Amino acid sequence: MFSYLLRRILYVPLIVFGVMLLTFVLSFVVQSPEERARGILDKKATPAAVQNYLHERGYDKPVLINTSPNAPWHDSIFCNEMTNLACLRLGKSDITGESLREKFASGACPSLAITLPAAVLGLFLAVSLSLYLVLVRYSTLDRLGTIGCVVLMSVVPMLYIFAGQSLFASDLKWFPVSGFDLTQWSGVRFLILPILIFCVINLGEETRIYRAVFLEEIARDYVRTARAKGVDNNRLLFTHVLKNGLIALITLVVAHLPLLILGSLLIENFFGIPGLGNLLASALQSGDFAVVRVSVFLGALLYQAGLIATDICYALADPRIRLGDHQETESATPWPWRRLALLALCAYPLWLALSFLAKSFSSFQDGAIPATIAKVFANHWFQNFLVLTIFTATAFFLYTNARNEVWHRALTRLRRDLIGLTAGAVILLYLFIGALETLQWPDKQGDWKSVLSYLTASIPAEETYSAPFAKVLLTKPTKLHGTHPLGTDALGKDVLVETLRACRTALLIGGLTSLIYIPIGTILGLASGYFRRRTDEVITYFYSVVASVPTILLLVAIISVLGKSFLSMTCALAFTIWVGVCRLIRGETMRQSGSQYISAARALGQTHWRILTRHLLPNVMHLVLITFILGFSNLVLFEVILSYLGVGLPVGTASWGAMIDGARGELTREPVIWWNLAAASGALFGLVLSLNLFGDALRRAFDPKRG
Amino acid sequence: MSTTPILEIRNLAIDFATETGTVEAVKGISFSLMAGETLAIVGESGSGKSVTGLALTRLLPEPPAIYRSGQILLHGNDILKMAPRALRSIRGAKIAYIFQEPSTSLNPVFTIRSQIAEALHLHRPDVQDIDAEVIKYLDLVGIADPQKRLHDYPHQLSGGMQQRVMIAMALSCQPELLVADEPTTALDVTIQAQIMDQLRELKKRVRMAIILITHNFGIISGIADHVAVMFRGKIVEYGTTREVLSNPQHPYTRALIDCIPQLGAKRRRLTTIDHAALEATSQ
Repeated sequence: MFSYLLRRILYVPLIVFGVMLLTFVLSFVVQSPEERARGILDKKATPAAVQNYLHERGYDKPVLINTSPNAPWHDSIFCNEMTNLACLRLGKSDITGESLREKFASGACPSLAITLPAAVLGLFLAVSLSLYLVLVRYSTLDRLGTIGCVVLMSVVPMLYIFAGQSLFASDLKWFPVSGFDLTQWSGVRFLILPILIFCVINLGEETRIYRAVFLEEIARDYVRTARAKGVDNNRLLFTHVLKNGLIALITLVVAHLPLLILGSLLIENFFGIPGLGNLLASALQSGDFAVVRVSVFLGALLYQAGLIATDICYALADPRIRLGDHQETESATPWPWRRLALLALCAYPLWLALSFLAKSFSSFQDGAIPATIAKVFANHWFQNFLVLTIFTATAFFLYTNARNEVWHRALTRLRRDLIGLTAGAVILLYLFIGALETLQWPDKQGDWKSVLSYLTASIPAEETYSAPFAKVLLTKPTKLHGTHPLGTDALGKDVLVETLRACRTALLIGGLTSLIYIPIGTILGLASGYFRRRTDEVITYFYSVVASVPTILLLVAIISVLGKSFLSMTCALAFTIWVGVCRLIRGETMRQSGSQYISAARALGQTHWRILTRHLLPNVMHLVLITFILGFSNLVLFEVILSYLGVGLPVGTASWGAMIDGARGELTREPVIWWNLAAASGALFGLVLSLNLFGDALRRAFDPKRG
Repeated sequence: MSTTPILEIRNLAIDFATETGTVEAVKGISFSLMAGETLAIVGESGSGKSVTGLALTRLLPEPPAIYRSGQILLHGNDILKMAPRALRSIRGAKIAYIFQEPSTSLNPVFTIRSQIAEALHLHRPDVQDIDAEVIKYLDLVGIADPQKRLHDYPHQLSGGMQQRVMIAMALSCQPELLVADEPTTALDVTIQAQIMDQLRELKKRVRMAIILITHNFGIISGIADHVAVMFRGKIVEYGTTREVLSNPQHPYTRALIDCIPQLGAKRRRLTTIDHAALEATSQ
């Protein structure tokens, strides 16, 4: 175990190096410091001012290696940046020039004041709730509880904050609306509401996962032995199952504990808590990339610390793993020397290639390639074609697979699952609305308009706000042109139409991202699980690097560099999210590769390609489908959260995220304008909930342990 | 042997509700058991023998199990009508179990001492020196140097030792009936023999009834007094071990006995069981 731990610790620099390389490429290659400087200073800043700004921060040095004879070779951005981070010299803010070390040190305490109690309370609540659900397992109460969890996790986090603030702070006045003060005891009242909301945001998901863990434990043989001994239900659950279950929970919980220092972006921003989350949020608004870079670096470092803590806790808690025993756990990684050497050899050519690519990309920035791609994507015939193809492909895929034994049984089961079917029908409805907005047709003037705009052409625009079914405008007694069942927004657009139009955005983001990340994750997972050895090492390294940066941080970093656009959001999401499906498929492929039918196929002399496509892929395909559905709901939520954080889609795109973002200011108006928020979050909730329920139904239908 | 039965099963029928309809696992069986008697229930997989064993203290998860009809009388009290609390006071204390797979049947995160002590704590709260009592039973089942083994975790023991711990745990509450559900199936052949010897030895030393559930006719001779042969949820043949082994009446029993490979016999293909034909004859 000690040697294992040592190897784990030695592996950390390798991963952190990967993360640093990633952030470096993002911050100095994909977007050059000059561009950022122009963005920060002013559009009209003189070239001299920009140069001065760059010189102050050392960004005017050569990117990789200093070739000038008067300076040492390592006096470049890359070398300085790497050595600084490696020595934990966090540098200065790009904007104010303040020391980031001080900023981060002073922000950690307020962040922890919220997240630590919230995590402890949340863990306690989730474990108790899930144990209770397991106690009454398979009863109506359990079913209701599980659905309740799915409902809780389908609500967009901002809504909890809105609701909590307006109910407990504004209306009931139990807690202050926002603020922070830790210098005296009365400051605790500022903490209670954020802590509670933080708990509730994660409660549904955690309870559901823990319930699954405990259910798995309760099906084990030792439980039957204990029952045969005459142990009662409570003791069974709280002694036998709890202890085994908690050991299983260590992997789920401990790795994320150090990340609590980074705080919560949303909550700190809302409640005005001067923590690290707030620091990051304001850095995003002002374009201070130094803060983002350091956050990503710290996040990776903390996550690695969490993984090591997980291993130690595991060894302490599980009697089967003893210090001194050699035990490979799931996160096991072999001795990294060979990889280190390999990486060192590859690093330089890789670096050159990357910088070359980036150079050529930046010279095309306003030119040919992206513009051509954009033109193709904007072509309406292309879009019509794409939508119809996807529908046909899905139908064909389901039809061909339905002949497969496993799929056939799952379909039969699904047909009897009322909740799953309803959820599926709702998803189809959303797809239909999305298709209406996507399919376009030229009108008499030759302008392309979506089918949805033809259908809603009779609904006229107003001047500004009006309440649902109102006859006059909200602010003045001007008569309305038409009836608006969900009212109108600030620009007088009908909220219902806007909500329906935003369907397309959500579905497109989810769909396009899935189109990229699902094939990549599946192929890499299959390859790494089937070929093992070096292939596995390389792929595992890549996903360890990506996984060690907290998802939201990485997303924010990528999008703030690539700029707000449809394509950049899709790329950022795909780049961040493929890790999950890759890991899942890798594990399952490894399990399947060990089974007899693969050995038999190999003994028959079948090619790798044939084994992969004919034997392995069909046997992991259902997992891909389930991940796709459940991942889709996450993508939709991410779009909204990112739009809310100000790194979402370009202004003017119809999106639920933008509507919810806009509602933040409107809620404080008098009279309260609630319909905008209600419509967007309602539509979002409907889609996410149906996706989650449908994914769950699929999982149940494909569960081999059933029936 | 006394003359009144300690356990009497009358017309027991158990169903399982599955997605594809109800499966009748046990279709109305009856038998009785005297104190100190050993009954072997023999049958192939899926014949309902393990279900019968688990049903004795209602250990089957409900749902999907449904006790459709019948009675399980322990000293004249119907177990199927008992309240959960009364049921728990029977489990382990009156009827104890040994299961098939010792490596998963013991809780991996508790020491063997605490697992045996738990049984003692539940059913014999008057025991003062728990360590001494645990050691006594570990010694009884033939674990060498039990003092040293007390604080071991299950994974530190071999499969045979784990099964001995299971037996010690079952015996520690001095039950009247021990249900051994395929106790040797998961063990290798030499350990099987040791465990069966152990059970035979214990049967002499501790006066308790045993229900031995197995698919293997080979291991029951020398331990079982009576044999019940189960086929498709019914008892198709019942008798003393000697009678059944030497003169099997039902074609299924004959087929099962034919399945046992014999040392020194002429090499031949082992018999298989033709279910269609058997089904036709037993209707």
